[in-house]
Amino acid sequence: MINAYWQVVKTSAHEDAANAKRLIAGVSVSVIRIGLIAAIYGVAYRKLNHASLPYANAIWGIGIYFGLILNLGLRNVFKIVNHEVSTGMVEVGLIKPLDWRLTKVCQLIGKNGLEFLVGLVAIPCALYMFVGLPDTSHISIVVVLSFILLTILAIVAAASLFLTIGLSAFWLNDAKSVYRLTDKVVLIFGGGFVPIALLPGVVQSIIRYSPFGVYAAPTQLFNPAMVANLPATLISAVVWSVLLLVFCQFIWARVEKRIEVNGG
Amino acid sequence: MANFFKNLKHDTHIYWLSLRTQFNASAALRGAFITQVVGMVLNNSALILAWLFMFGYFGNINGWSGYELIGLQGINMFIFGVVMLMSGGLSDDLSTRVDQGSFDNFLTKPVSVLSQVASSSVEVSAVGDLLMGLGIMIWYAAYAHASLAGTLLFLVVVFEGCILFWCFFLLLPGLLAFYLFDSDRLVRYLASLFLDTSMYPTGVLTGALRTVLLLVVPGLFMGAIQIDILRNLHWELVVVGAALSIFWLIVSLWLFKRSIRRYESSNLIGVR
Repeated sequence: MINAYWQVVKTSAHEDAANAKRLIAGVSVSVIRIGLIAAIYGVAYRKLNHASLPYANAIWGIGIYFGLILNLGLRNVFKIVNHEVSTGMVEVGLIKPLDWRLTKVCQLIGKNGLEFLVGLVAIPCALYMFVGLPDTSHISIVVVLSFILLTILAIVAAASLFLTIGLSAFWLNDAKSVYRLTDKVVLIFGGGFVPIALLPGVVQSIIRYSPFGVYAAPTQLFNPAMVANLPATLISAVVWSVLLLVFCQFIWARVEKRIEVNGG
Repeated sequence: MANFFKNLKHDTHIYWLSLRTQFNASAALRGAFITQVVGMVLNNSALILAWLFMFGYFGNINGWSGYELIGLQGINMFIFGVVMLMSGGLSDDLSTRVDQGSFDNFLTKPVSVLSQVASSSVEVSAVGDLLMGLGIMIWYAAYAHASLAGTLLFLVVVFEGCILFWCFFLLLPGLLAFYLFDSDRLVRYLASLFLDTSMYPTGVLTGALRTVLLLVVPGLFMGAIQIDILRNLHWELVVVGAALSIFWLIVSLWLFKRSIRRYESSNLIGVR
């Protein structure tokens, strides 16, 4: 069965590879966006004598957000699900032997996979050119392993969250409004605009113990203060990922009872 | 010439009728409509809050404080709201229609193609942007103790901002669909790149990057310049904005006309 899903990923990846111009342009846009943020923060940091988070670390944190989270584009699973539900195409997917939701996630990973991998090389190179290397004195093997685990949990949580929002189209007909609301809030409190380490302490704690914390956790790799909060971040990320997964499953069970297949 | 004005009047009339129908259809589901508008207001508030945290950490940056940032976001929202309400059909639909071959529908009618595409759908959530943006703009003008001359120049630059936003966010990225297959994602990337240059507090930038954002990718005209004008009456920026908006409007319309010639009608084959 895993092989079947792997084939879905591979087929979608081939489709993406066929459009090299788009691939290059997509990565270039990500690099320019990071460059713009680096320039703005460069001006802001110039007047500070001492900052709790070094300039390079702040920009590398935002770079992780772009490289790992935005470029993988798991939030776009909502668009596919919403489209298929509102147009009725979902019926076709349900009669196939593969899980419809997992197939959509695999299609998306395959479609964005190549750009994601190219970004993983291009973005660190660009970050090095823009701001130099970050301070990595706090990074140990435990931190690296935790970072990998947190990234996997962020992927699971994002897929579950945006699938669930897409499934809400079964009741709303078009779940765009719910998506827009969630998407921007996730972007804001996920460290996409302002690094979590620069937020007030209370807000940082709220984010850590909220579902946004799972999203934001990988972006904190270069935040030296993160080490002290690592156990709490990990526990919170595991709990929220499981909860979001269970909730997605619960909504799916409700959806299955609601689906009416039309002949034709 | 008389014929041109007759056609313009006819096309404008059809455009407004189509837009009104689309808006009424979108607003018919009252619950969804209100959710979208309120959702957008909450969204925008969260965005402002995030940037305020940044200014809270750094204090004033190059003469910009949290107040200027709120003003910038307000102007940005207003321009976004106006343009998306009036040309929502260009946002995603153009590239999708060209890729899928359903652009044919617009070519067979005796009405301007551009006005048909622009009014083919309405982004109702933009009402939230427009209302919130308008409120913030009025508040900022009062906060900055804007003079009458400053307010008038400000309104002119907001209008210029709308034209530039329409060109750089909607039309120009969408035209890529005529040159590249499956351009949907790239169109979105380019549009959001322009949005970033206007949404981020780029007003704090100086030097070469500011010049680029002023003249090449004029994102500063989506809010930052308006703030400068309200504070210091930079009339020369109004002239630059006018020149840029006229230039880019002509280029965009010319490119659109040229790009349409590349469109090849196709039968839509869907594999599910």
